[in-house]
Amino acid sequence: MCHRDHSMDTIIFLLILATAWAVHRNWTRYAVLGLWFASLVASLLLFDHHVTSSLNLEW
Amino acid sequence: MVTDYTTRLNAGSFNRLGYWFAHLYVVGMCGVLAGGFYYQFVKWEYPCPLCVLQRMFMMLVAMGPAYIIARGRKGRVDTRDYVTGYGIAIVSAVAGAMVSARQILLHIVPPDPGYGGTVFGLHLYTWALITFVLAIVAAGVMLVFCRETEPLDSDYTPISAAVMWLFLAIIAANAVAVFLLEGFNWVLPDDPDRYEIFY
Repeated sequence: MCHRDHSMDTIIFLLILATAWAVHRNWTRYAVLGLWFASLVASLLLFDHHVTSSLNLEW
Repeated sequence: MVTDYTTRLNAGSFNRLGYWFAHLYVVGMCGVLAGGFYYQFVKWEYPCPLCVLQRMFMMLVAMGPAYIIARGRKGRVDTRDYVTGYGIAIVSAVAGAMVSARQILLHIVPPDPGYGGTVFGLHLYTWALITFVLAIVAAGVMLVFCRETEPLDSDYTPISAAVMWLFLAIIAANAVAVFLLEGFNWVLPDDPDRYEIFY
């Protein structure tokens, strides 16, 4: 098994696409940074959603 | 006008290479993402949710140098935009490396065979970690030599436009591919074994 639980991947890909479009169209620096940061946080939240158990490893 | 002429005159080979390196960076990331498509649609492997997450972070990494390329359309890419671009790449790559490390550690204890196929003996998520580390190193080196490599004389050519459109196309294709995998559920199953949109 890879891991468990579900995600909202499609929406995040569309957010990343919107960020790339903002980059391509040379929107203002803060608009690009805002979209990129929103995409990054959304992706990290999705990652956090998947990390629901600690690894059975010694550190 | 005089300033622009002086800037162009002072722009060394490395400054031009700095701009073209951003193109190479984006194309390299697009190549890795295309490799993922090869395994998905040619070898017919279904990407797991963590695999899809790593694709997202690779796109966010490439967003940085893509930002540098796009700013070149206005002529000179100023230092602020240049470091912003590689800053975006580094922060995104660190986040992506966390996902790859998590997936490696999930499967690292023998006799776990790992998830999915391998390339030269390494699973795709291991290659993803290598990609993220190389992305950090490359961006770091460009920032260390920012003075020498910042694009003082950037020429946004049709090649630049092609790279930008390639990047956009790869993102759009991934959005469609993951939608096919999820269907109208808006969620991915634990271990995808079919394209939900067709069921």
